[in-house]
Amino acid sequence: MALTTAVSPRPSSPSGKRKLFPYAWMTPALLFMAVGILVPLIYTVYISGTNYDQAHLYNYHWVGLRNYGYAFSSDPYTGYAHGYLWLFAWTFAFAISCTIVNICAGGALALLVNNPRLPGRFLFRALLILPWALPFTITVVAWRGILNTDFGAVNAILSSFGLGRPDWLNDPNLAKLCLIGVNGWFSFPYFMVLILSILQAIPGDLYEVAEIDGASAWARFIHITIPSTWPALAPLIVVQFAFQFNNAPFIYALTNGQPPSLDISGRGETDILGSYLFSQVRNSENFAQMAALGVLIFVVIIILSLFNMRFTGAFKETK
Amino acid sequence: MKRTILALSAAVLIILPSTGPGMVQAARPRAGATITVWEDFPNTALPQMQTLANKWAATNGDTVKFVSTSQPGMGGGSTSVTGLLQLKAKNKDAADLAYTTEDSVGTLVLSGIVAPRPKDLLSAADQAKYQTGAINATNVNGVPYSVPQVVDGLALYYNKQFVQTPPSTWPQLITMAKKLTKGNRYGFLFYITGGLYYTYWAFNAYGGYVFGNSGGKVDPTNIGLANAGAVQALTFLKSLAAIVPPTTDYNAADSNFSAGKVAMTINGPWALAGYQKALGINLGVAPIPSLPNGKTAQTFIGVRVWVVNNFSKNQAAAWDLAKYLSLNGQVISGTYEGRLPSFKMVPGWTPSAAQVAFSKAFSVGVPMPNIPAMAQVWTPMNNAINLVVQGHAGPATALNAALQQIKAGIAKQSS
Amino acid sequence: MAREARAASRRASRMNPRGDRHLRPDQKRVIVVSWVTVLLVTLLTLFPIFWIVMTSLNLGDSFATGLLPDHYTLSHYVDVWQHTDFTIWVRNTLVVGTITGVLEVVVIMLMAYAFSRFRFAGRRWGLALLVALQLFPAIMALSADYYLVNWISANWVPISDNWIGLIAIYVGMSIPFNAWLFKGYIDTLPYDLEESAYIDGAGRFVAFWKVIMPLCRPMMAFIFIQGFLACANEFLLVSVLITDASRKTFSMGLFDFAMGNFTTNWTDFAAAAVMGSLPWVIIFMIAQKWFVSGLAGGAVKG
Repeated sequence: MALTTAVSPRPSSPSGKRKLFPYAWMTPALLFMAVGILVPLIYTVYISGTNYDQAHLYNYHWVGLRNYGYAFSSDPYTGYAHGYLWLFAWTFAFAISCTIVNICAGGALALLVNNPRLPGRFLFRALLILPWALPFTITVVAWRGILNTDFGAVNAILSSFGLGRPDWLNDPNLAKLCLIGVNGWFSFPYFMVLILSILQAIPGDLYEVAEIDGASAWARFIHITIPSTWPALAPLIVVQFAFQFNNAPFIYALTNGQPPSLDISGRGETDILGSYLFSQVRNSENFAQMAALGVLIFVVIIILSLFNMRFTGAFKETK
Repeated sequence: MKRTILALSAAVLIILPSTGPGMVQAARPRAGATITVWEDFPNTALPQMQTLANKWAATNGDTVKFVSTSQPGMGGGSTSVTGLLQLKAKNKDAADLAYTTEDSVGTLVLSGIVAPRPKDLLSAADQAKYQTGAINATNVNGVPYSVPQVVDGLALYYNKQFVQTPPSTWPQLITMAKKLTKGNRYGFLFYITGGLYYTYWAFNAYGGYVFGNSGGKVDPTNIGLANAGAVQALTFLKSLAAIVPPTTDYNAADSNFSAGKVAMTINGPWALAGYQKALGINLGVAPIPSLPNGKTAQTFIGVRVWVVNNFSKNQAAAWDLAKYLSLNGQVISGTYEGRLPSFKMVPGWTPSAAQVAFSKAFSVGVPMPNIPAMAQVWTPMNNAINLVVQGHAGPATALNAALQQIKAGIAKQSS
Repeated sequence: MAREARAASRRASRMNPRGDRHLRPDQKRVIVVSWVTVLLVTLLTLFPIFWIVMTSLNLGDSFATGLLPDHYTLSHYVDVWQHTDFTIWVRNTLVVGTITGVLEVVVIMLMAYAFSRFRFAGRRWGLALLVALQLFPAIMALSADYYLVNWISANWVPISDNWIGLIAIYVGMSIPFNAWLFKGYIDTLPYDLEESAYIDGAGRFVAFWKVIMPLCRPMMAFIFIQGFLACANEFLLVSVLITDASRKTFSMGLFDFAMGNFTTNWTDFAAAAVMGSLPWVIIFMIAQKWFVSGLAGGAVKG
């Protein structure tokens, strides 16, 4: 029996109750979405127009678009444009670098482990999944300890080879490298497993025929592996980019945004938009300005979303 | 009529003796309310305070409930009393009275969370009992908002096993420290990442200041944290990185000193009990040495105060309780709380030798400014100090950036 | 013809003179290099884990000075179990995670079925909305979450330090992505099964309940686990909405414990980390099959 996609069987006579039936199914979900997404969104916009912050906790008032003005101005005392631009640039750079590193690392390992003649490949595969299996908070804080300048394992090893003790988490540039590196450690198992399952879906005969026809390993890779994996991989690239773009918990947990910058926005040198927003809300109680920043982030996300939908042809799915 | 007079006089005669000499009478606002107090007393002091409060409560039928920030439901110790006030002041079960730091009162005032002190609460005689710095610290922009309890600040602790006479100048200290640092023992270790609070004595001695005065009032537009003196001070602090690891945090300094591995440290009276238990007779306290430019080190004096929740329905009773605890609780604070009483003289209390040394150190201290603008100073300065000491920025650049950040924060606060 | 002859001769040359399937020298080289690379990567990957386990066994407050501890002790495990809120965190996480997971499964399954099987006004826009909201970060609305929770607490019901707000936001945020995935999954189930149920006289809901739901078990498991894990891993939202120590979830409790007020107690933290990770890893390894098939299924087919 051929697979038929679902089609509504009855021409629904639109009597009141029948028509509302599908909506009844969705009501609980819509309720949660309203409470979890819509209401906070509305209030974010509302708060961004007030001066609700540490100095005005119970006596805030409406200030209109002032916070947005601050976000775009370069006034020496109230202009955050420089800081926000910098944050945005680093967030973007971080997301792109992580996406590239994670997918390449995951892909490379998937290719290596995919070889059926590799001894112990199942053991390797099981062991390599561990960074993914472990709870994220635990491992990130553990990495903080490992990268600790005075006591960490990395510096212990380096100093025993006489290579000195680099200040991994306090130097701005080294800290950024560490962020991308540790992120790679976390993320590659996910991609390894995913790409592995995609690779295993490629029929082996393709490779055999190509090998017989004299294609080198490299040519087989370029002309068989990549075209077969790309359709499934492409949407994941965008998802991964968006995920890293918002990966504030990771940044906050590993470096806390440190070292601090000399900017009046109060950002840290390794802060991304999300982690900066979080630390300003949690520690500086800077609610109104962060609400405005939140709205601006939302606009950026919408643009990314549109791009994602175009890229993955999401609209074509809906029939 | 005669019987009534007899009864009344009998009542007065019975009541009068039950209040001992020197006990300050409590007034009688409404009866039967429960006054909730948010505090963070150490475990040693809480029972004593509770007993004292119960005495007050007995005289007017109220109950006093102490709620500690380390209790479940109250943030588990990671939220300060100030934080609790900011978060929950309007809740139904919010405190009426709270024990907090005087430099955070300014921000609370801006948000309308704390009530001004009634003008007639503390008579002139009462106010004269307090150290000048302490009673002045209760004024925010000239209006009193709190009742002082204790003062604290910083001094030099030293281990007599390694140091017989404490150094009186920094060059002396540095030489001593270098000689004593051997193996896993440190000559000198302190919370160098503690920011402005733990290093203000350096800024002050070189001519830096937080807020200047103009016309007798604190002027938040005159900030002296980036002037030439401040830059010199920060350079001096950076030079300390030669003997103190630049990432030393509070626990590293504290636990190592307790373990006898550190000869000298800088800390406050809250650590006194712990150190006395750990080092016994080997513990010594001295004022912080004077700076290389010859000026005395003047530590920040912090005052712990009682504030009343502006949204409370029992404000009169709360103020009364605050006055009672403050005027009658000085001995308890001195003995059990670890900080120093804010009175000039406390009859009935003998300070230990260490506490005498602390008093001497504090007598040249500088009270922390408590105008609302002060809250904007800490983070930028802490960041600047850490950046410079750890070698990521130059003193002048970092301080100028911090100045800008402080001004930005102040501009935002008042808008 | 010629092609097959060529193929045959190449196949012959691929075999060694013995005519069996042993490898050529260059293929052997590839295997060796791959093996060494994978081994190195595995060692590098596992080193931090090894190091943390060693730290948890190290006597004292801080890390071992060498590769192995100077003195072994189990005291940190005892410490963490008895003197911290470890058990409270685990209990809290189990409660919140389970509630979140169950709610997510129920709510998302119903919505996905409706999107997949029904045709109604606004369906296309609804689906587009689901896709659009997938990239919506929870961070964005942090100020609002804080404000709302405190406002409601002060004026109506004390929900701050309760999990109600937290769960509502977790479930709400997880709906777009998971509903999309689930819908895709249901789309692949043949309609005939429900049709036969309708012929037998069953109503829509009964058909769904008896026929489709049993088939959705892998997906349900995936969503439950994902909801549970997200809840247990999440610590940003929790630290803003929950200040009460007795209500902390695992991630947040551990993070606060590690990044303590003034210092970091590494050895105790390492012990807590090991204890907290073990059940995790076990569950993950078991559930990983479903996890991957859920994702890959959505990805490859969607």
